[in-house]
Amino acid sequence: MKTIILYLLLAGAPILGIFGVLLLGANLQAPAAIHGAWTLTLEIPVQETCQSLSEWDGLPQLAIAQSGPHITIQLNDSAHALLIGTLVENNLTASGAPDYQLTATLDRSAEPDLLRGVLNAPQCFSPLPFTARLQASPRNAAGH
Amino acid sequence: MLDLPLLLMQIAVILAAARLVGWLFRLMRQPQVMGEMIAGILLGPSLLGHVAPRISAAIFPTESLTHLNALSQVGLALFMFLVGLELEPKMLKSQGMLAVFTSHVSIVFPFFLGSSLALLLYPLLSTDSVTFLQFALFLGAAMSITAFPVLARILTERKLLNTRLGAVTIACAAVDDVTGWIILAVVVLIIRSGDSGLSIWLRLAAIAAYIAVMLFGVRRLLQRLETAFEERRALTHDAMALILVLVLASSLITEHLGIHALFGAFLMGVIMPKHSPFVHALNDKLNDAAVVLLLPLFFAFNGLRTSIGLVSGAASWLYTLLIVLIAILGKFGGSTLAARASGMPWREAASLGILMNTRGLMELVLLNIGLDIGAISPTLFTMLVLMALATTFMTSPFLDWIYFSRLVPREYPAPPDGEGETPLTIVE
Repeated sequence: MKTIILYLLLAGAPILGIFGVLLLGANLQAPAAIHGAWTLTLEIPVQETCQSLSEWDGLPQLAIAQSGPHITIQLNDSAHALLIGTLVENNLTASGAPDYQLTATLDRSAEPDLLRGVLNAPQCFSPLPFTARLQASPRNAAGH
Repeated sequence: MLDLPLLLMQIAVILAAARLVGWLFRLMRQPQVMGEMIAGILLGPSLLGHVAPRISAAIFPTESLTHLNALSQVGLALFMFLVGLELEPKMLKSQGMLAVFTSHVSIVFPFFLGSSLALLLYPLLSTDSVTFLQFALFLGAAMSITAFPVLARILTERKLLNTRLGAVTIACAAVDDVTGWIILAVVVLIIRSGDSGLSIWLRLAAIAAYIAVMLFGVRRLLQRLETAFEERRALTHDAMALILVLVLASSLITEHLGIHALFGAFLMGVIMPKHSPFVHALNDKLNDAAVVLLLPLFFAFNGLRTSIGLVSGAASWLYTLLIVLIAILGKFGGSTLAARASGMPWREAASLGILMNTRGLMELVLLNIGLDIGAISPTLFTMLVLMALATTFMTSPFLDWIYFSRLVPREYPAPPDGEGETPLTIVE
């Protein structure tokens, strides 16, 4: 009898606890997934506003790594253009050396997801409005 | 495209680092495998990539890692086969209620604490690409796994296998490993169920059919191989090749069924005949290739994915500390309480708890699967890797402190070298 009571207490109670936790957490919300590779389209030609932007040679891309609301953005694999920021609801803000700043809004109604925003780059006279399109769904991507 | 000279250089560097750091850790009375895990981390962005980024980029350019990963995955499949091969169901039966009770509690208690931790970490370290259910189940599984192979090695080295502590621990670890992998298979299945057109019920039916074929078809074939082995007293190359083909085929099937390739290799090992000379012959043939050559590649690949720099800021380190504490409380606390409640003296029960708390490379295998399927972020992956290292590292000194310095001289005079020990030698 003592063994059964002990078993119920030490093994049974945690099992009930697991079900309780799963019920309790069912309504928890995690930040929107934006990790992955995004293709950038500038709304004005970069040559008109910027002196030179070597990071954008070729097809401009944003590589976004994410852990919860914490975001790391890399421009075209350039180690010199690394932005760190946060995602609050659908609003993304990030900045990094030297003088990069990015603000964008996530549009999840589009297929695939879209980021619309503005990028301030050190070699540019004015902010660059952009649209970025997700290349692969985060759900199918390996890792975050 | 394969750059063969680069791949050969990578393998040479990894093996040299693994043996060197492993040797240093052996000097500190730590298992070799602990040093190899650390060597992998040192070769990654946490050290080499941080202090010498050009050298790191020259030795491990991103585009070359595909080949390294492929080799390490083959090694891991062979290793998981060896782990399954060493699992002996009789271990549990012979230890009775104590082992059954302790093993059950040592799974559900850390699982409960791990899933509770998910309530805090899900909004902070995850995204909505995984549901809370998937995240909580994965974190629960990560907390409840035990490193059966590392434990087997520690118990053999310390001549504990034939003590009550050793016998109960190895039985509990075997149950934990099987249960942990079943839980993980369920989590992987749930997460991957959205990736293909197959419904989850169809997949479950296919998995049930696969297990039935393995248990009732392939197992009989393997028993014939064992009979042939007993007649010849040797494992022929043909038999060896057939076993390897079956391991790879089983891995391929489970990969296609949506539960990782490693489960197929593991199950293949579990259903192998457990006659000791046959198991030893197989182990002898495969061990060096899998453990000495290929497993360090997995540790290196794991290290290249582990960036301690991702854990930045006081809050991140606080979460890491919390993860380590919850992991210890769940596994060490749960196992100790259960063993004590079953009648083991406190000191012996605590020793069992500290042994069960060893997560070692099985945790790394699980975490890499989690990162691959997107269940966890790279940051949480790094935090959990640190937890795996901390819980494995603490085993030897705490075991010395709790058990060897007080209990052993009094209760268990050591037998002469090798006498009465069943060698379990999956890892060093």
